[in-house]
Amino acid sequence: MRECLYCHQYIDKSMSFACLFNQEKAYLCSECVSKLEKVQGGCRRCGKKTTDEICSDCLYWQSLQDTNKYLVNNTSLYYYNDFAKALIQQLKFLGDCKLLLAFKPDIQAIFKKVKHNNIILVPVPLHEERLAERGFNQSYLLAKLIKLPILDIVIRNDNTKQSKKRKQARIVIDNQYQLKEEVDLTNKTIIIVDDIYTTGATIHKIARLFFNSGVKKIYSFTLFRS
Amino acid sequence: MLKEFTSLATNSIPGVIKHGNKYYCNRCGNSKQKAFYRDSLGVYCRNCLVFGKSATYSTIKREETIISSTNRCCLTKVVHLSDMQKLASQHCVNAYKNNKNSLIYAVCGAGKTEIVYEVILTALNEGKVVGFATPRKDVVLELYPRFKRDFYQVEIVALYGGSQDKGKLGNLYITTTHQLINFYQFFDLIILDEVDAFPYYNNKMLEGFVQKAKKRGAPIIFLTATPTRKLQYLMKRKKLDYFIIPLRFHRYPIPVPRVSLTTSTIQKLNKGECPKKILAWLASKKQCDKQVFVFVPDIKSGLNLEKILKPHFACEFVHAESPDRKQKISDFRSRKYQFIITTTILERGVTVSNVDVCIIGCDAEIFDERAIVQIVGRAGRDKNYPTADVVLFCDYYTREIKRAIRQIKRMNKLAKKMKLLL
Ligand SMILES: [Zn+2]
Ligand SMILES: [Zn+2]
Ligand SMILES: [Zn+2]
Repeated sequence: MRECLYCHQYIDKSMSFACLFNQEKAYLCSECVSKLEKVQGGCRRCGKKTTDEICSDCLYWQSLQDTNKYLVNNTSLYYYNDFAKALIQQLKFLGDCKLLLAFKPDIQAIFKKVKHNNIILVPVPLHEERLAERGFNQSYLLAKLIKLPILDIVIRNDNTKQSKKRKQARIVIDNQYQLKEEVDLTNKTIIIVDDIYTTGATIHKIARLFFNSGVKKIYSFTLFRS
Repeated sequence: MLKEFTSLATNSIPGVIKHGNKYYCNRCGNSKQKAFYRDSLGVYCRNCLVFGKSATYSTIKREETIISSTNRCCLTKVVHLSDMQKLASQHCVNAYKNNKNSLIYAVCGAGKTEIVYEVILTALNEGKVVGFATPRKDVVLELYPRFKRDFYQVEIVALYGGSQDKGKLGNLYITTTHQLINFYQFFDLIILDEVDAFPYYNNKMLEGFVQKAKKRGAPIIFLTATPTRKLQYLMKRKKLDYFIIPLRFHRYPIPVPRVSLTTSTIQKLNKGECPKKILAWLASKKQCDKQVFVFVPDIKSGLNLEKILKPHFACEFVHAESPDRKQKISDFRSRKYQFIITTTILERGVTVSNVDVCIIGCDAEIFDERAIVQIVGRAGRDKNYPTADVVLFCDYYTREIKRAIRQIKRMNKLAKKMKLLL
């Protein structure tokens, strides 16, 4: 008998949704599954729950010069509801990376429809101190669930080592993310992977890096859309 | 003079270690391999995750104490034990000396705490460290001054969430079961109070805490008034050494509750009405000026009942979130008002003499066998007033009600058979 990854109650096999339809192992009980709210409709560019065609977040990015070119669109799996918050709490603050397995069936289902050639996944990097505390970078582990090539070449610039020589603070904020090395990415499609899409700031910053180095098709995938 | 304590240099050990090809969590004692999982830096334990991450790359501090025992521990006064208590006390000492786990199953009001005094002293005088663990902070706070008063030349440490004593060294620790997580192979004897009352975490995790907090092979003494099914099973199969005290300190039987059927009790309360039967019963208590514990299943129905009763009776509602909880309870003790309405928070521990007890809506899920037995145990505690009227108002008989009544009758019968009753 398998226990629900989140609430630890035994998963009733006959009741488990994932089991019936995907022939996949179920990691959450039916009660927990029912609390996850899948993204449907909403903003055409990012999936935010809205009645407008384009949400206010996306309108903001479009209003900035050039920014609207960086990202083609964002796909999120679920809305960031109270249950999602509880999951993120356990994942990030308690450091329970096993919880990510719960999303494996849905993630793989979504990527089944994607044409695989020339796609490269780029996980959003984590602060080094966070990494030591938490034991993992959730974006990297998420990307690993997708089973496409991963390129972990973005680094964060705001760790403590850097902060000592940080004199021109404003420039550093602008360069919060950097590419570790120059890689030839012509004709490649980049998918930036993160856990939550809040306003899109992080993802746009990283998208800009790739845009400036010549990548034309940049997408993002996040687990939750707040 | 007090004993001297030497703290050896604190050494750190990893949170999770690998024995052969099996992982083991040094913090919670978990060895179930399914509960371990690998992240990017190592392997962590999911069993005790709520307390922060315990992993192969995390460390826990471990303190070792050496107690130079020069003085003999003793009690500050003679504690009078009933014959049954004496036997139970001897039973504990024997179990400790033989390194055997043992269960003391004593009805509410049998005086469980005094029973373990002897075994605590025996262990302390051998220079050993003893832990008295209980699930609730209230009990720690209540026992600490009592132990301080009764034990002479014993360094007592009280541990609970927010306690000032953290990191203090002693030879007798009164602690909440959760705080046991901070100990690693530390105790020579653990006394586990109210083993049935672990409301928050599953028992398995707790068992792990206890196992690793004590030294290997050190015995555990379980105390309970309402053993769980599992303990009952272990007793029946003679897999656990046990001692039953079927009667109270004052040697009168436990009041057997009577069931009174009412219709849609809780729904009525929520509509602002109260079944006539209940009102009539309470009115009769008012006439003979008897104080009453009124138990309700939840806060909502308690608030409603208070509203209904307030114009006619002197009553107060006390629940887990009432800010003036302590004051209200002490007012009830000093007979400042007549009826105390409460949720199950008062089911254990609070003792008031000469009270009647009723449960309203006893068919609610929260009133299981153990809760009902504990609540009935509030009645007739004082030897001057050993009888009491105990009524369970409910829409219908539940299995739990039947089991609870059966359990009480069984204990009374056992006491009678052993010719122990007065
Ligand atoms: Zn669940
Ligand atoms: Zn949008
Ligand atoms: Zn653990």
